[in-house]
Amino acid sequence: MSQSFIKYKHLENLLSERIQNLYYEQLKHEIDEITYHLFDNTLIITIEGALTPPEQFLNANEHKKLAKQVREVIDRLIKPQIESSIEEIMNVEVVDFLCDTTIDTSRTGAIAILGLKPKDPPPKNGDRSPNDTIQLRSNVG
Amino acid sequence: MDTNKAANPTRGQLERTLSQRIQAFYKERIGHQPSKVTCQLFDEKLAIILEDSITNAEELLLEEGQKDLAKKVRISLDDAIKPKLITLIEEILEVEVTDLLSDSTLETSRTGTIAVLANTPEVRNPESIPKLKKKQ
Repeated sequence: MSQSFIKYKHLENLLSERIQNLYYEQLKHEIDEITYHLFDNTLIITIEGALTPPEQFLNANEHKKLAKQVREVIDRLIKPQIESSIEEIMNVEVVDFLCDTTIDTSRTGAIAILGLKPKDPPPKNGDRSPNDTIQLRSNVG
Repeated sequence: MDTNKAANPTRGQLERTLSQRIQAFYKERIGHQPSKVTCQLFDEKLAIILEDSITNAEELLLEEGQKDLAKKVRISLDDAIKPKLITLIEEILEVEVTDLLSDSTLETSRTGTIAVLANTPEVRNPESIPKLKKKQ
């Protein structure tokens, strides 16, 4: 495993810590897990267990529409904070940030389109194992 | 489980087929073809990025200062497209889609979608699909 890969994993850890803190400080909610995948200039973030207990309660008690409304507001408030955390920690510009949550699965997915490449880019294919999280490849389609 | 591994498409072929079919799907369903569709398989997920996904009608609403209405139109379109997109992905990848997360930015005309799959699709080169390590 190369030095740049280890460094990149460290950035992921810092970002996870920041996102967890955002949820905990503002919602007193502990998320289950966060996963990342980077390709080209796109960072994919998946947050499992994003829904707070009140939202889960609303959803379980025939108030799905209200639970959705609550989540839309929460996502709208959290979105710019995650965006600025990515910019600060990864030293990149986020030119677009797309985010959605499914109430029933309690999963949030986010796609950050990065404007500048990180100062310490992830290693080329030969430097890592296929199971490593970070990957660079060209667009298809 | 597909035992005839050599008959399976490669990961790249599968991603290209998805991109082409999704591009055609948008043209057919809402009369607007995104200029570029990028598909990326990783772990048990699929990321889809659509460039120029916003229709002329939505752009016109934006130009006329009707941003809230344009947003409502986009949310409704994305919601209506979701189940059909799930069916299309399931048909091409031959795996169940267990979750589909999708969002659009009107200003950049970009749509991003993450499909969560029940399994990793069968491909000739499965080692090319990165497996994620969970972080917490």
